[in-house]
Parts: sequence; C-alpha cells; structure tokens
Amino acid sequence: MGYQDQIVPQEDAVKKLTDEYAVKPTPELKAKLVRETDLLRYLRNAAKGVPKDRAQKAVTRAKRFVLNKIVP
Amino acid sequence: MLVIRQEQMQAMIAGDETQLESVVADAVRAANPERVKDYEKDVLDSMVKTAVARAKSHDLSKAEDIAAFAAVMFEIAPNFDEQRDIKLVLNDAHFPPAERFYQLFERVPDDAWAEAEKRYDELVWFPSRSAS
Repeated sequence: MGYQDQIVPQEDAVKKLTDEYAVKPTPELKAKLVRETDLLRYLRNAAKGVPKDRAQKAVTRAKRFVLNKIVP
Repeated sequence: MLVIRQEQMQAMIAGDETQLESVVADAVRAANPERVKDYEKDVLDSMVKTAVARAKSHDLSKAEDIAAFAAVMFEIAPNFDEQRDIKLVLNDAHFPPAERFYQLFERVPDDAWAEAEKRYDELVWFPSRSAS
C-alpha cells in the first residue's frame, strides 16, 4: 500500500483517538495520540514526492534559516 | 576588515544548548512548516532534543549543520541515518563529518532515500511512549 492509501485510515485512527481522549484524557491516550498524529504527518509528507529532493530542499531551507541569523 | 571567527559566529547563532535547540526548532519549522504545525511545545522540544543529539552523534557541531540534519530527520525519517547507503557515506572517514552529510545528496541514490523513508521508526522520537 502506498503512502497516499494509508492517509485516510490513519486520519480515521487519529480522529477516533482524539474523540477518546476528549472523553478520557489519560497520559497513555495522549501519548498514543501524539504518536499516531506524528505518523499521520509523516504519511502526508511522504506522499508529496521524491524523498531525496525533499530532503535536499529541507536542508537548504534549514541551513539558510540558521545562517540568516548572522546575515539577515 | 572585520573578521568573525567560526566560534564567534556559532556563539552569535546559539550560545548554549538551550539556544541551539531553539534555533533548530525554528529551522525545522522553516524547512517544512506543515510537518510540525500544531505540535505541542513539549512534544516538538523533545523531538528536537533527539534530533540535536543524533546530529551530534555524527560529529556535526555547527548549528547550521545540526539544523540541516534535524530537518532531514523530520522530512524523511528520524532513523534515516540507519539506511545502509546513507550510513556508509556518513561513516566515511575520508571526509570531515559535515562534508559527509552534504555528500549524501551526491553519493546516495534515490531508491536508498525512498527506503530510508519507508523504514520510518517513530520510536526514535517517542522511546518512552513505546509501551502505551
């Protein structure tokens, strides 16, 4: 199954957990919600295209941001 | 002519570990805002701490290199450095650590990056939460 196909089931899982957490806000549920939300963000991000190109763009942006702190 | 030494430059960017983590968190947000939007501060702080430690384990020391490494962890996978081809380049002692990291984009093929992404391991981000 590709990343795109995994997004909807993962959205459902996060929604279900969010609802559960609203009713029963335990630390365990919160931890699970954080983990599953991160997994959803990962899937959405991964579905965006070629990983190597995305990684390179992320590097350029992060580095530029830091260096701009010296030379705005 | 004004000459700024590397140490002075690093001090201007981030004088201590707390500042470094703060700069890296901001850099990660700048690199891919969608990826980390709405994360609670304590969650993102913990992830950034993990990323900084991981970057340093590869002997990266400049704030801009650490931030760049962290950005790849968020963009691809927190354990991207465990992929075989990527690991080979990062461990290549013929080059200085930062150079090895930037060489990844010349020396590691696309399919290795795809494999690194596929092997996403959230336990790197949330090790203490694995039992829940």
